[in-house]
Amino acid sequence: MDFLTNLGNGFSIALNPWNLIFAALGAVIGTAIGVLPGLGPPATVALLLPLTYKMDPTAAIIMLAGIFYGAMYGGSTTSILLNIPGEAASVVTCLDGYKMARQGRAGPALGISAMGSFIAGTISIFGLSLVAPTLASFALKFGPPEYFSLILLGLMMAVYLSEESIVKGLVMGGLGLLLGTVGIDPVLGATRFTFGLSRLTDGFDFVVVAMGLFGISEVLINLEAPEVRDIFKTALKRLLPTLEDWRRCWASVVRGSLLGFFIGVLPGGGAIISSFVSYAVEKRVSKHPEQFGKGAIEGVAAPESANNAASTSSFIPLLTLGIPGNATIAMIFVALMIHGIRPGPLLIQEHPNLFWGVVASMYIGNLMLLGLNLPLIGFWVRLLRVPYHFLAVVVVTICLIGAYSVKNSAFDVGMMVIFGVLGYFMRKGGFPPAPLILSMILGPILERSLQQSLISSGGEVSIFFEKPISAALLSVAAFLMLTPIFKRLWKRNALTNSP
Amino acid sequence: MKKRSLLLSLFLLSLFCVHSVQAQEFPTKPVLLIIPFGPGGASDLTARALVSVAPDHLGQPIVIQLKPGGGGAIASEMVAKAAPDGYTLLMGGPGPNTTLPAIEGRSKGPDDLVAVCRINYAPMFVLVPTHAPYKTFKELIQYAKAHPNQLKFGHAGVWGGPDLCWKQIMHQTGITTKVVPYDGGGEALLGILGGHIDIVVLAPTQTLPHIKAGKLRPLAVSDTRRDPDLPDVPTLKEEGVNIVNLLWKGIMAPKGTPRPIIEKLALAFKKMTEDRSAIAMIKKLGDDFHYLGSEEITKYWREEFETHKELGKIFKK
Repeated sequence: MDFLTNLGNGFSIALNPWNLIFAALGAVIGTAIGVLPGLGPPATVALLLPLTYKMDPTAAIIMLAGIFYGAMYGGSTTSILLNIPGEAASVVTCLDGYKMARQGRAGPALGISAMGSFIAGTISIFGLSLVAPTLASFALKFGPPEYFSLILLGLMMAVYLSEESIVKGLVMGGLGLLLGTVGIDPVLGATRFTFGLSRLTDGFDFVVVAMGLFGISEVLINLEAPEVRDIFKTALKRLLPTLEDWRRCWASVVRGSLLGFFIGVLPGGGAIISSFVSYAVEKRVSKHPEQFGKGAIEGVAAPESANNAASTSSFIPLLTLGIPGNATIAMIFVALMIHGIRPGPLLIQEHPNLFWGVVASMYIGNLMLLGLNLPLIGFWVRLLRVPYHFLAVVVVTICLIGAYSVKNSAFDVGMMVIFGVLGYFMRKGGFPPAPLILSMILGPILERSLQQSLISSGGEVSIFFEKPISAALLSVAAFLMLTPIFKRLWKRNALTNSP
Repeated sequence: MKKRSLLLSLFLLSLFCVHSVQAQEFPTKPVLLIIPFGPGGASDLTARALVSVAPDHLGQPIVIQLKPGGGGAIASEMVAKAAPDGYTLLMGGPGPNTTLPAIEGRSKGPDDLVAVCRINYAPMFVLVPTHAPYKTFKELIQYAKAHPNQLKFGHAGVWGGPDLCWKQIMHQTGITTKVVPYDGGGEALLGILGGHIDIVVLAPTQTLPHIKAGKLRPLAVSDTRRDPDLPDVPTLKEEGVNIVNLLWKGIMAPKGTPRPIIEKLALAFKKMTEDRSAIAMIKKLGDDFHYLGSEEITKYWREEFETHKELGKIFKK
């Protein structure tokens, strides 16, 4: 097996003491910035870039990659503990993770997300070392009509994120799509809904909206009715998921990993889509869907596995095609350039040691992250014992710094506060924030792929049905939409015929 | 009356003295350079390579501040409003300082900012898949004329450099193609490699590996000269269209900054771009410095501004 000798060679490079130290350093930095939502992975990698000038290229990439997937481990921590999603891919983790924490099960929630991430990371790295080139050519085949159909299907699934009313979920999804249109029109370049403010021409930033809708509104709700904190004191001893937990969610971890691996290859919204599609799939196949949104451990396991698997597979377009799929990967692209390596289709042939060394270091880095995150769980859980009026100050401070640091702009801080107040009233009325934020992120990609498809086809809608992948995705969407209607009709028939 | 005019002339004289003294002493404190884009972009990295040697040539350090937003409009407006004393500068370019003010009437252009110098530039290549039936630029134009509105050009952002360059080509040759919107060069590259579009116009940094791997064929370059890395690729002018379209980065100051200060800054930046350690840093990024003095870049910038204004009138419906 060619693959095994290559991977063995990779391990001999990754196990070099210096490379081990840099992998560990990347994992620690990544976890830290994942926990602190202010500084994102792209900015961190940009700041550290000058340090890598004098480093060996393999060691540099090992460290920077460690920061990237380490942040995915850390990102779930604030979602579960404080209801602040650190990045778009962990919005879904808030739904059940935070509920689990409020039920005194923060330990198992953090535990399943760390272990699920580890399993997903390992599955995804194995997939990457085995089928990277094949998968890259699949990602290339994914053109505008395919993207459009995938995102349409994804947005339909976002309705499943709604706990109570589907109508309220749809309203929020629609509002999110509208918010996503703020900014510059992709075809004509006209500014839309900016009211002449140049700060609005880039649209709303995810961090600003998420911290307002989730973080600030959570603080407002809690300040209004000081809750009984006893729940956090009970059952804190159990820090790890039980056997029962594992029995319930091992399949979710596997399904989440596979979805994350395949959807994560797609540049753009890959990681985000995979996180909530895997949540929706779990809710659909579950025997007790009513528990979702109220602290179901599968609702944490699946999206956390998916976003970690996706973060690994998002390296595939970079390493095999030389195309950066997201902002952090784009910085790693620059790091490669600094060392005179131009990422492209020839990278694996021209620099096999770099490719296999980095892949092998990902196995090791994931193991390190598990070792780093499991002991931290006890510490995080104890953090929840801090009285809420102190914790609220911390949450607000983190949100303010986070919103400011996106563009060094006080305008964004004001926007976040407005979204915080909006979020407060939304939650009072039972309107879920998750569908809003996801459709706000995916809306512009949906719009662009629709425009791309229709401009390419000269306005013919048939382009969406002629391409096999697109047609299959649309059929699934239609099936999902029509089954409840047929079920109801069938029930009504059964009722009228039976008596 | 006499007393008054004497006072006035004394006052004016003192102003002049202050200015010349200022220019002689400038700079007495660190200079702020505002980057209109986010961390890790080409502007950020170029600026970092440059300012690493600033204290040696300017006598004071240059501090970088990132102010992304509005396609560069936020930073441009900030600098245009700043005190014209040479202590607040902008790392500008055609995106925020030519196209936006000329076509959209937003941001600040040559009417509100003065150019200190150009730091560097990159040309763009017209690229098609290697297996396409047209092998030269002229064949591409012939094909497009025979198949009007059939070929798909993918831009990397509406009114961006590639978009404008292609619109100039369409306007001069009289061809028509579909213009498919893409978000950034990376996405457009993915589109052409996947066979979803037929033509892209992109800077060489990202595309060279794909040209070398035999996936993409460069047909023409938007520079005044051929690219040293790809000497076989003709310029657009050689192929019969009168277009030069360069993605340049330059240092800009608020309008009204005294001339002696501009000249002092320009000289310092010239030395910085000639500094060996700065050159070593920029070369590692796959880039280079192409210094151009204040007068030359001002002339180029003004011409670019007028061209974009005209293109905006033609293509903005």
